[in-house]
Amino acid sequence: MSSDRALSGRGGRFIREVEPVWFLILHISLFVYSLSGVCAKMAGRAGNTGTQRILWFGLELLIIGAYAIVWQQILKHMTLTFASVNMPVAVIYRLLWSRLIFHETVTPKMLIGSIIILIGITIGVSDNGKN
Amino acid sequence: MGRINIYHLVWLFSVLIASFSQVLLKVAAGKKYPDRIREYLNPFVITAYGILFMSMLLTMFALWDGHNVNYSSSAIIQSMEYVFIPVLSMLILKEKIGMRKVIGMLFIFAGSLVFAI
Repeated sequence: MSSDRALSGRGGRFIREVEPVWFLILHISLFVYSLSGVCAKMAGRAGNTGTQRILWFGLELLIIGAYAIVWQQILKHMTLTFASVNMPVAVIYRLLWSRLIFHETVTPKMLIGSIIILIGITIGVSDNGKN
Repeated sequence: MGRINIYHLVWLFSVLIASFSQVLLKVAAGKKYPDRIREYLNPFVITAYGILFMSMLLTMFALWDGHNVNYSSSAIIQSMEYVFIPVLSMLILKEKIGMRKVIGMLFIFAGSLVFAI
C-alpha cells in the first residue's frame, strides 16, 4: 500500500497540509531522535567502563547530528507549526523505551496523558493549514 | 511545583529561546542555497544551533542543586514549547494556524500536564 493511500480516507487525504511521504519522514525522524535519550541513559549507566560510555555517547551524537540534517529538509516541506504539532509524539516514544528497555513503571496518569497527547496530535495534523 | 523563583524564569527563557531557534531553522529552510554545504553552514542554522546549545546550558543552570527548581515543574515549563513555537511562527513567519491546530495544541498541552504532574 502506498503511503499516499495509507493516509487517505474516502473523503480525501486526512493530512492535507503535507505530502504523506514527508509526514512519514517526519515521524521516522522523531522516532529515531527519541532513541538519543536511550543512548544518553545507557551512557549514564555504563559506570566506569569508559569505552562503553564513549560508544553510547558517540551514538547519541550521531543520532542528533543525523536528526539535525534531516530536520532541515523536513522544514522545507511543511510549516513549523505543523512540525511542532507532531513533536510531542516523542513523549510517547520515551514512555515506550522506558518500559521496554529500562523496565520502568508506567503509571495510569502517564498512559492517560499519552492518549490525550495522541488525540491532540491527530486533531492538529488534520488541520488543512488555512484559517 | 513549589514557589516560583528566578531559576524557573531562567528555565522558561531557555525554552523560549529554543523555540526561537526553531524559527531560525525554518527561515533557513525557506532560502535557496548554491550547494548542500551552505544549506547547513549558513548564519541562520549556525545561530540556531548556537542558541539551542545556550538553551541547554541555561536549563542545566536552572536545575542546578540549590536553585530549588523541582524537576516535576518540567511538565509545565517544557510544555510551553508547544505554545511558544506556534505563537512565534504566527508572529515572525506569518504562518496561519487553523482552529483544529489550536484545539490539538490545547490537548497536547493538557496531556503533557496529566503525563508529568
